[in-house]
Amino acid sequence: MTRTRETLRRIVRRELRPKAAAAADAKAVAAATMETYEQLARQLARLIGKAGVSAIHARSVHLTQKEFPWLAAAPPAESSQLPIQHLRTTLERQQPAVILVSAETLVVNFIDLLETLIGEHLTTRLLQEAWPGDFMAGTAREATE
Amino acid sequence: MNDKVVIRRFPTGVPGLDVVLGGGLPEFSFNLIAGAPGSGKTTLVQQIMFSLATPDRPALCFTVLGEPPLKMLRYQQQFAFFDMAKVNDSIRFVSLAEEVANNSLDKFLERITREVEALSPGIVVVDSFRSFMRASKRVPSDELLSQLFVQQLAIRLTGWQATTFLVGEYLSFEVEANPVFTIADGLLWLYQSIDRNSMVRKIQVMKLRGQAAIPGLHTFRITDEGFHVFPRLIIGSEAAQPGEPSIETPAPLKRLSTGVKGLDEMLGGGIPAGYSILVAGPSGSGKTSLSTEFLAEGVRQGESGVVAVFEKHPGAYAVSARSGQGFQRMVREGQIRLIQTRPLDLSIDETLYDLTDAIRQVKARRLVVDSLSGFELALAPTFRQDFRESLYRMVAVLTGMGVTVMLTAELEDRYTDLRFSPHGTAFLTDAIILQRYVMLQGELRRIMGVVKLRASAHSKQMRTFEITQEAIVMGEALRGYEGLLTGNPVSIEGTKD
Repeated sequence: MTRTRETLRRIVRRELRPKAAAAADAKAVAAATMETYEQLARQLARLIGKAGVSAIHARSVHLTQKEFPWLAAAPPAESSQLPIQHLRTTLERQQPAVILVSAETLVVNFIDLLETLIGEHLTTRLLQEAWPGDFMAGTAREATE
Repeated sequence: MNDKVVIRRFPTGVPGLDVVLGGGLPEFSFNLIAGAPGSGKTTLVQQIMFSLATPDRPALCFTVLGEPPLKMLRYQQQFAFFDMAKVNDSIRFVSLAEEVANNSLDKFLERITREVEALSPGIVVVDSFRSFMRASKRVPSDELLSQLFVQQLAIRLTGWQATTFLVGEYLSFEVEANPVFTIADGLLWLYQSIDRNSMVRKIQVMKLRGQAAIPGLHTFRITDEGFHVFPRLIIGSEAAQPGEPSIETPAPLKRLSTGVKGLDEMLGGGIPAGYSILVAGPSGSGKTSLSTEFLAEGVRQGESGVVAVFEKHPGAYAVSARSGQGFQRMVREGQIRLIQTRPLDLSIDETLYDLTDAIRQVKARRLVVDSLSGFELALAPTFRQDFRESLYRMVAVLTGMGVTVMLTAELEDRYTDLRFSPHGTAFLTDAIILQRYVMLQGELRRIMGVVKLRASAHSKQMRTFEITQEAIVMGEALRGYEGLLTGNPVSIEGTKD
């Protein structure tokens, strides 16, 4: 079973949009989307360390820049901080709709890359931990759609 | 009343390792798995961890600096033992890269303690522990500090009722200097030994407190299934393995028919059960035919058999065996187990494991190794030097199981000397059957004789024999000739045939 990119985008969208919907302005939308992304990054850092997360994040930003060239490049991977913070400021300068689409693309790239490296099964388990709730139910629904 | 503490032992889930460890891994032990890069340390510890971890006895795996965790997860999941369902439910991976970056032994210990308190794991793995100790050298820490740290770690984890594994890249000369070796309860060392173009993996239990491990080096192999250790079996150990139905030792006077009527008579009624017998002869003399007949006769008598084929592809062996279709049917129906060999890098212990495993599975009473020359070639070069000694051990273990063992040996067709085996192994077996070609009246004939049959009377005749579609048919005894074994007999009357 290989998850299509479209399915992945729908999963990410379902996580990002409800939180962003309640946000009043671009700053709040950027904060909401990045918080969701950070939940995933934190969970993953437990497993592969911050350096591992930074490496995958940097590659995801690079891939996303093809579609959204205004995204700031990721900081060096050896930084001890999780590399998500720097994105927030870049995103805040965009329109809320653009923030949502670009953040979705970035997170999709991130998960896609993770799946390539550690496989879909293990990635799904991580996503379930990072984004609990009806993640599996959502995935099952996606499969029947 | 026996009030000694009872140490529970866990099965490691690594085939063969529990035997080497002397019955499994002691609960709450503090173990070190050491070896050079690429020796299989991470694979071994992961296999043990995946086997032992359950929701009630979870495992905590701290990854440090050695193999990056991302890569470790990527590659280890290729092994069959990597059960995705256990990840996060029964096994938690925790990266300690940050604590190492801070160079703090205290923070490292604190983080481990915090995680252990949170999960209460039954198994704790630190991979690679060496990476951390190396990194910590940059802070003011001397040997005493390191020793105190390792001691604290060992005490805390044992106190938390965890069985612990530290994985580290150590070199053998460090054993005396490094405090971790003193503190560890168990010390497993992995080696890769290179000889000419072949590589053989070996494991040694250098130390295991509280139980008697089998000393020495044991070969192991890493396949898609993971680790498989082949214990260096000691004579007699196979006959009495705990928990296994022992194969009944046959009555000493029972004779097994070879399936060749006249030959049984020459042997005084057949081969004594539990004997080892060498069938020696030049290429094409009928050694394989006799050995397949021996196995087929066993099946007819209700005795299963095992054959290890080293010269031909097993498929081709079954087809070319004289009894052809009948033999193939016996293999298909499981009465005869044909062993596929992995040429050129075998160890004697791996072969012995395959043989004893097959013997147990089909409850075999007869075994054929065809041939010794092929077997020797199939071994990794490093084991060929000790071939005679290893063969002695192998034959002793197999006959000790009550199995009657027939070995074939190809002889160069020399006409100036008399040899029974190219390996000097003739003395190892209880019996020897010799086959030769002779020229008689301008015709090439096969002859066979019983050269040796320990503690039993046997015929001293050399008899001709024919291999027909149906059977091996013994012919007349060649009387009135001398020089039969030179292949060029002369009539005693002086008339050359």
